[in-house]
Amino acid sequence: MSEQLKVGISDYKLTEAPNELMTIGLGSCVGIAIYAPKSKVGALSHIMLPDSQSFTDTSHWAKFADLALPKIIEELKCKTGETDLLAKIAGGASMFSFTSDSPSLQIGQRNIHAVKSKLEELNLPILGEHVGGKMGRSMFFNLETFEVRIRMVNREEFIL
Amino acid sequence: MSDEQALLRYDALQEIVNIGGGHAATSLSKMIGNKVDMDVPFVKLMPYEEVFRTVQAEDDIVKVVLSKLLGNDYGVFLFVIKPEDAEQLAHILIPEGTKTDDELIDSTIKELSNILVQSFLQAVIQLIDRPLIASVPVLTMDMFGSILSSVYMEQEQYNNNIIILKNNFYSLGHVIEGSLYFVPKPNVLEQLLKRLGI
Repeated sequence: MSEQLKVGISDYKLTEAPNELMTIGLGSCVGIAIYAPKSKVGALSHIMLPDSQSFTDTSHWAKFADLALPKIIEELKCKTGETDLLAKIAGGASMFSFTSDSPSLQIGQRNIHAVKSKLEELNLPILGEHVGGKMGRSMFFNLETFEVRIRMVNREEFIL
Repeated sequence: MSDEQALLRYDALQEIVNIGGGHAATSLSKMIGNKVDMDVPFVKLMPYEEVFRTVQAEDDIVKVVLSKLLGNDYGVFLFVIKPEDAEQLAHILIPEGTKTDDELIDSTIKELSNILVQSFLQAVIQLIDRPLIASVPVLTMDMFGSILSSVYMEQEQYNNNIIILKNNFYSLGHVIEGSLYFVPKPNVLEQLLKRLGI
């Protein structure tokens, strides 16, 4: 029996094939699919913010890219015994663009940057990405194949 | 804060949204030449999951008009409407026989949202005796969840519990429905209540 597990905003879930992981309505948030290919176990994380440093309360660690990624990757490594994990990412849009907002201030761009540098630091190759732009995205992560489908409004589905 | 104080603050916020929304509904009604009804204002602190479960689903496709309050970093207004309702509403305003396309519909909805926001603000200005100016409106169509979370994030509201302040408007019975949200920056509501002596 395969199940479809839904990951809420600033949350993550971990499961194995034949289940599917999904997250709906990424805007400036970034979704990160992390995969252990041999055991077909994976996690989907929906981070909201790049960096926990200016926050005193970090008990909701899954919403920060800098805290969530190391913990989730560690959990996946422990569970599978695999060391070579893979990643695919999507999101980080800027839903409304005002000409006065510089890219460095856009939270979506900052989220993308934080996720990429954290994954690089943790030696996880990014095998596919669909980031930036002005549109919302939903992610569907097939744990059998590591196929990640990106759904958007009024656009063709994109496959990572 | 005592329960009594919290309740008083809640009542005050609800009253502000009520007065602003009432003003906005009257303007809208004059503009479209039809009666516009309004629900009791919605003022509630709730987690995203509950917003998506009870207010509007995260994958609902909506048209959203955003107007920024200029000046002291106050926050933004969002006018949220389903695309089919936007089209109906626009057709009430566009003279018969005019060739309509998405661009014309969107620009009509932007103008309409602008009028809602301006009349809401006029009422609040009278209450707090401070000038408030809203930016030119911008419109997008996308998933409700993508837009809502991004807007709260941009207003520096980083908690999982977010305050929802909104008015629902209806016209032609309940055929056309639209909602006006106000998303404040942190501490803006406190300042507002302070101005009112609460």
